[in-house]
Amino acid sequence: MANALLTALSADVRVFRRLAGARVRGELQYRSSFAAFTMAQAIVTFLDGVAILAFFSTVPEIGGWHRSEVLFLYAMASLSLGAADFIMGSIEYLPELVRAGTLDRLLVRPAGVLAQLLAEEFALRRIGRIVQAVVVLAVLLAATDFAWTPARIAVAAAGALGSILTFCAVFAMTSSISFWSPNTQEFSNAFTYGGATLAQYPTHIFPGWLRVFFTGVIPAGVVVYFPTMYALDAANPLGVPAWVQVASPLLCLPVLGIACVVWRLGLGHYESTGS
Amino acid sequence: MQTETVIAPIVCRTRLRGVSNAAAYFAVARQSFRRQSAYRLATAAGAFTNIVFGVVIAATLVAVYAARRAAGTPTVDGLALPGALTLVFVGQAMLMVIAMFGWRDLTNRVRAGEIAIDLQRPVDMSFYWMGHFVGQSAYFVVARGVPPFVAGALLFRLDLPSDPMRWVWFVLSIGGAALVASRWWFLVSLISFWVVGDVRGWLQMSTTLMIFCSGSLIPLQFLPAGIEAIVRRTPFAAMLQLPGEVLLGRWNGAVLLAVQIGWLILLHVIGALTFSIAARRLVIDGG
Repeated sequence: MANALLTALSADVRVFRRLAGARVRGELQYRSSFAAFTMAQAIVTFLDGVAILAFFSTVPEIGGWHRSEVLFLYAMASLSLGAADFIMGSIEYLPELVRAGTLDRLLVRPAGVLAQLLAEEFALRRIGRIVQAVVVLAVLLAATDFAWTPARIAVAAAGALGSILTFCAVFAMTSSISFWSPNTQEFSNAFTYGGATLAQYPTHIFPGWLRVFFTGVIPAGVVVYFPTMYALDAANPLGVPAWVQVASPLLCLPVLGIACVVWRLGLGHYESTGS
Repeated sequence: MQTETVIAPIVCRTRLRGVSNAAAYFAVARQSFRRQSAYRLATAAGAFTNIVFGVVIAATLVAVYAARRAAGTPTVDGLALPGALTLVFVGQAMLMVIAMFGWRDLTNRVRAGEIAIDLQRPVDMSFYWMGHFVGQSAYFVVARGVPPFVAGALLFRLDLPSDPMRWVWFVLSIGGAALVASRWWFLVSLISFWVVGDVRGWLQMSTTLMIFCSGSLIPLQFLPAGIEAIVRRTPFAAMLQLPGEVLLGRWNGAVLLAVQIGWLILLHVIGALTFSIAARRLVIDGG
């Protein structure tokens, strides 16, 4: 059973690599477009950092967090969204395929639908956001002495992985809605990009109802916040227990599970279109 | 759905009836408005997203101002919290009106070669696309502008004037903002005549410039004074932050309208000249 699953998965990965590789070769044919796109992606994320710097030019701390702490949080949030967008970004084209009925094309081929879909519009240029986040992290780590311990480093790394997977799941979940209603793709932006925007700031500064929404409904408000709080030993006005902070990366598992179920239900609901 | 299949016969018919061209551009705008209004659910989803973003940014500002108050300086460059929150929700309301995230209608036509058909129409292309853009903007004022603004006013304490004249100038400046934005995006779109392939990256560059300079990222009061002074002189500030400040009574509505008309004329002339060069070097491949 596990063996069969592994074989299927490795087949999917192989399909994805072949198809995505072809996309990338095509993309690199238009060098100026590629450069402009990658730059633009990096600058857009960079602007959120400019906003944080501008805020901190007027106040010493926001919600008890200092500039370097909020910047670290912002870099982690950009990294999570950027990596998730890099892997799952193509899924934003799902509504087009559902509306036009061209998803049929992927269904009749002897390969996983998700693997094909992710490869279909795979774009190397989406790496811009990741590069920008990594540069910010590197500068921060070089310029600031956070009191690192092995445990804190481990939680930060686990937190990054956990939040990448969580954002991947959010992409999949919210885009799956288009199986039922292909005109509501913008909804998903509220959760993916909106969630990432919220995750750039310590969650406790937000009003309770917003926190509940971005914790209980979409966990974007905690998967970056908790591990970062632990890793930097930052102010904790809500009194979140340490074990919750350490264990929070595991939250991605149930979220991924729900995303899988929603995706499967959606795919089962797909009926193509008339001709 | 192909817009132009709808618009073209109308443009031609109005010509045949001998109506002046202005009526044709108005017809284009009306069709563009109607086309947008066909996507009800998409509009609702988009308005919802604007509200979520507005709330997140506003809540961040509330925290920043709380820290300011704790330090005994409750305003930033003379801007108090309710004013800042008003600018945030004006910003969310204006996003689609000025096509902050890009306008691909013209570049898509160029890329597909369909621009060749447009060029055969007996209309001025720059006014034609102005009508197209502004019709869309008018729809977005109602469908994507009012909901986030009302939601913001319900959820936060905004600084809304009781003086009806400020509202009048504010509404007029929204119209001015849409017109200036239409000329800006027309000009940027012309890059598709020179760059082969995907120009979305270039459009996105323009988006980043707009996000920063319009005051959509953060109210311009938060920028260092030197940068703020430069940014305020861009056409982008006149599309978003300055209309917001007209509502707040920090900018004179008549002056802003004059500034917008200035940008409108300048960008229109540059756009029309560039277009005449672009159209001459156009080569359509096809079989």
